[in-house]
Amino acid sequence: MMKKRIAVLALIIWLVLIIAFMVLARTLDLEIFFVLWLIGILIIIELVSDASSVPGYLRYLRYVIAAGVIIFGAIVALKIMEILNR
Amino acid sequence: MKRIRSLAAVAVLSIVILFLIASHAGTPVLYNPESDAVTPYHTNPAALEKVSGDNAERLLPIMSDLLNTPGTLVLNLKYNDLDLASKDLAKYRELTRSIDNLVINLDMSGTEVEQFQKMNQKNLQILSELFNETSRFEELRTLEIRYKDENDPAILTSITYEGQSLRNRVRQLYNEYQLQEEPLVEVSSDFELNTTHYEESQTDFAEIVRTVEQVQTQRTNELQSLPGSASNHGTLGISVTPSEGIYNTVLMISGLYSGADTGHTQVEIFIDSEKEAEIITDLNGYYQYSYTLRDMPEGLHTLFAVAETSVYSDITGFNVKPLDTKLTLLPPERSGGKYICSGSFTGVSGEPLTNTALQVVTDKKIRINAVTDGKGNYSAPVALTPGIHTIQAVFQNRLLPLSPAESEIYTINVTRSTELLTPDGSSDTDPVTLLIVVVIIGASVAASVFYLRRRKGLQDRRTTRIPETRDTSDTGRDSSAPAAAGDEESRDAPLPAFEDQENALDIFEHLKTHDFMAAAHGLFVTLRNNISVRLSLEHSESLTPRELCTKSRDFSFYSNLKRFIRRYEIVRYSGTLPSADDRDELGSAFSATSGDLEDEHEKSG
Repeated sequence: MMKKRIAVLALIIWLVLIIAFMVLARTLDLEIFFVLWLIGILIIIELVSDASSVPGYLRYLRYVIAAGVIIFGAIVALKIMEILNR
Repeated sequence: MKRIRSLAAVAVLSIVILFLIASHAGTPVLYNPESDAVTPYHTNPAALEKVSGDNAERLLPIMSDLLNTPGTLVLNLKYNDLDLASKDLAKYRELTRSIDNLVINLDMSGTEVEQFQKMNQKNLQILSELFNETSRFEELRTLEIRYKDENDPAILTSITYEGQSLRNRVRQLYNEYQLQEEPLVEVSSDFELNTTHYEESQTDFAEIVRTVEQVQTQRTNELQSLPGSASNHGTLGISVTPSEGIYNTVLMISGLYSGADTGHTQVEIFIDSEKEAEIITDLNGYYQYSYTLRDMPEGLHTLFAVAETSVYSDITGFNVKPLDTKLTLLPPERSGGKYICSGSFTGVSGEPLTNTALQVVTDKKIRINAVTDGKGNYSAPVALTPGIHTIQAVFQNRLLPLSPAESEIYTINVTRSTELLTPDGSSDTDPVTLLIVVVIIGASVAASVFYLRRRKGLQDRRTTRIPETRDTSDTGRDSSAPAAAGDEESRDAPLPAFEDQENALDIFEHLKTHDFMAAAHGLFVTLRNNISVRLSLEHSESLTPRELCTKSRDFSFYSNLKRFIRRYEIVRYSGTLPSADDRDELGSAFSATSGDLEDEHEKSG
């Protein structure tokens, strides 16, 4: 239960940090926010998940991450098309 | 009920957030200073900070240099020091390029700095041309001396006529340079720049024109007084009607050759000292040539003819006036992944200007060339990246007798979706790009599948080797665990029940060589059952090793139980096969805990 709280807290801190830096840089970009969220959640899950057991709250999160990886691929593809179209 | 409500609230909230995010997926940049301007008349100064810092400081020194350099350039031309003038011209060109870049970087379109930049560009063109004309005039002087010695009137006539052409051109340049003075000095005074050198350059330029005219007048006089200049082969007349015109005006150049042999004589016509045509006279010595005014700048142009018998006509000329033009641009249309910019280029009265090069300018930076067709229409494809862009068609060519023209400006907001997809929604990118995109998306799908399988594999690995036992009391979480993979023997062999401690140890000894996991689990279940009975624990099947340990904290068997649980967890959860010592240690910890339990029971009994 403690781990769950730490994970949620870490993710919130990470997202607030991202938003804070975006505001400081005067650029709010959904793509960058999404990619940094994905990186954050991947790291947190790897740190939180136990060597011996997978808690229930992490079990279904892997599907969210898998979907995130596909969206990340789509973002990369769009960026490449954008560069090639220049 | 409460849980269902909170879940429903979270679901609704998630859907709302996803909807809000999806509505911005096309343009993921929610805010940046560049996109802050809501109207073309508003620019967020924060957007300029990044580029303006050092650049703004460089602006005034460059402007000052731009005003000073023409002074030295024209002075060197006046004293015929062409080497130094060439260096000055290169420096002037470099400075002009610097201010062009600054105006773009600082986004100073429409400001006085841009006016200053445009006037300097024109000054650069005038002075470059002056440099070329002055160089050629100097060459003519050298040639003149040489052919005077050889007493060749034909060549000297040619030199004189070319000199006349150069004189007209230099005078024309001076007129243009003079027109620049007042506005440039006015703009410069607003920036408190010193214009003394620039104003001096006007005076020096006037002196250059005077010198050229003096030399040319003297040359013409000398030609007329040259013995043998009147040719023995006859005379050649020339006239041009009309004597002035605008773009596309047809001039009729004609004349009469009279001499010993007038019929079928070849006559060459020179415009601005460059051969324009070769024609043959008729039997009476008459020739005629029609010339359309197109590829020449406005101003005076010289004209003369030379017969094949080296008979020169008098030099005459015609004046070309600029034609006011009108340039239109239709709203750009998206097609084939690009925006098609089309429109028409005509004179003010609507006559089409054909085969004329103009430019389509995006964001006042990128220029794409377009050429008008037979009807004066043009079309140019423009590739635009996502963001807000301006598009305008521009015509400016000092080498044509056409006044500069600019079309209306269109502002286009290119979103990512419009950039990548055609209006009908189909992708219009080339196959290679499409292949790259497919490969990337395929790789990301493969990566996500790998991630899912990897995590599933981790879970499987963590839950493997936990065999089912026949212990009916152990129907908690462990009973659903699959049998050990690859451990066929343990799966087939009937697992014994751990009824009492002696029996349990025997079975443990029996099993530990075949399936140590099952054996260890059997010991744990035995201990858990015994402790649960002793301590009257409820739901004993659901107790984890640690929970069992915590509940036994106040009893004498706690230390041995802790020793057992520590080893049991390693055996059970690490997924590795323990060493022989660890196995024995587990057995001895079990025995010690069981012994303590017996003692505890006897004491309480």
